[in-house]
Amino acid sequence: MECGIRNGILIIGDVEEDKKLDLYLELISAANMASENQKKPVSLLLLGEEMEKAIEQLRDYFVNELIYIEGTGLRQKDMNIYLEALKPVLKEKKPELVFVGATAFGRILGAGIAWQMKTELIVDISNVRCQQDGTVVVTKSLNQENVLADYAVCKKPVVLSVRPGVMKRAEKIKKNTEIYKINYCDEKENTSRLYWKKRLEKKIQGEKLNTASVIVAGGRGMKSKEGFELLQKLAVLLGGVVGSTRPCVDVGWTKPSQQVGQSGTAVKPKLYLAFGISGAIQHMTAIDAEYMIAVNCDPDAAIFRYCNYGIVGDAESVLRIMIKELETEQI
Amino acid sequence: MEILVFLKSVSEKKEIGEGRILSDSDINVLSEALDIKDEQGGRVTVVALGAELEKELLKEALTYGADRAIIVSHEGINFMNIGKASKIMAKIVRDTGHYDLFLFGRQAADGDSAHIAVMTALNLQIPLIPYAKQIEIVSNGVCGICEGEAYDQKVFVSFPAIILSIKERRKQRYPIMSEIIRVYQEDDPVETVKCDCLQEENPDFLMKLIGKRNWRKRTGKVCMIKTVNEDEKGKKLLEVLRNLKFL
Repeated sequence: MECGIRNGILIIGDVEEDKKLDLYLELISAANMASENQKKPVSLLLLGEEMEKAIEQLRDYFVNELIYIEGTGLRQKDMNIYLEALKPVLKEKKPELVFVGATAFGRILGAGIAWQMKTELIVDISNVRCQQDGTVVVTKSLNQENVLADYAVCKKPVVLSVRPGVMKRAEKIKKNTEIYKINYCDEKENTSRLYWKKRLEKKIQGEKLNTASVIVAGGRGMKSKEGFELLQKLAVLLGGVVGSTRPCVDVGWTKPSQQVGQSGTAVKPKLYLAFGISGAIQHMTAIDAEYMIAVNCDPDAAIFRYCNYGIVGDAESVLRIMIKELETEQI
Repeated sequence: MEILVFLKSVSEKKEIGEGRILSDSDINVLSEALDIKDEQGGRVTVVALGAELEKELLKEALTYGADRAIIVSHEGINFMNIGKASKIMAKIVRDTGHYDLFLFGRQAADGDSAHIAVMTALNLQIPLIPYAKQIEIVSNGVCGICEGEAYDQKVFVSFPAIILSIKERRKQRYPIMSEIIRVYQEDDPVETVKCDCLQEENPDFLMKLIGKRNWRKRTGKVCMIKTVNEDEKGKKLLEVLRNLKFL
């Protein structure tokens, strides 16, 4: 199989209609930052079904080549089918760096690609740069110390997963990048014991976290599911949506789709109201808010280092007063 | 039904004797395994990679009703090296028995744990049900509903199967008194497996720490709203929102 550029930087992802395209603009930007001092060519490789429209939209960005693998079997988000489709391309191109988006399927696919390339995976990076000597440096949260850490990448090839929403999007240029199409023949016998039975459409209610301009978020300090009902009331009164930290999802107070953070959604609201949130780095690095206001009963909570306004107090009591006042005003 | 549950101590700093070590995510996945055992019969084995802290974690899991605990002790292993960690997991699975179902939780030092589950599945060539928010044991396998961004998918896998579970707690489980007594009376209720199987591989470093910095701090000073009265705090906050034109 002839696949153009070898030993370069490869961005890999799945495409469904023209969704996720913003993510690929972020990955193009990340790949170009990694390429800066070593002048490695950047290729964008996307997989899916009926992708012409999406591919055309990505043609005028700074990549050296655009490849897409199309096949009806790629409609299912089955890692094994995707890896099968990628196998000959990876073998041919031998990329030094592979970028994937840390979406639900991207995480799965990234790990699978690393396994297929017999290498490792560096997950959830929030920045990347290339030093003068060509060393690629990635930024990640250092979990144990609540700080960000820069790491020099010592092993190549390596797969890097980038959280959606944290990188600047690549800008459009007049590039008219060369496009290569590969048809994936999925008529082989299915040897996997995994059968995809059916697709269950989701009802997405209300505004999404990543596009919301006001987010009313809660942490463990909300103490219960009932605490989040109060947050919902305030969110409605302020025209916003409810977000939460990871532990609140784990105990079942909120849904995974409401999680803001490293393993949830990265957000860029105008206002982020944080109730009972301590300020763990995995949560904080996913927030790029114009204004952040925090209410926490612990005066030493890390969140007070990052907010514009802070109140030391019981989150639930403050919430109840706010709701009462706003509801009275509405009458 | 033989069920293997992978547990791990997560990022929060915890000392032995400083309260519960099992994370909420691990409690969820352990509860899921114990629920299946209650319905289907069988045995739940818990396994973790690490040292003393992980041993305590496994003891805690035994007090909840797990039947067997295995700690994999391996010098220098780090969850940052996900590929290597997953190879060790696969080796342990092959060496310690036959299992029908493997359960991984969400939370781990590698981010969302999906990576270790994926690589272990690929190493063992066992199908993975990713991001399963619901699973149901049927006669010859397991059905799962996988959470996706735009839509969910229903899948079926015949045994053995690996599940990356993201199910939230449905039934609160607590440590069982008789198990607490048994676990803490026994000299060593946790089996230790030394895994030097991969030492022949080059101990190459994936990445090297070159600097730390605080996450972006506000350039301006934080304005702390100081008032003793709880009622006043709520009212002051509304005043701030009005001043910022959010109301």
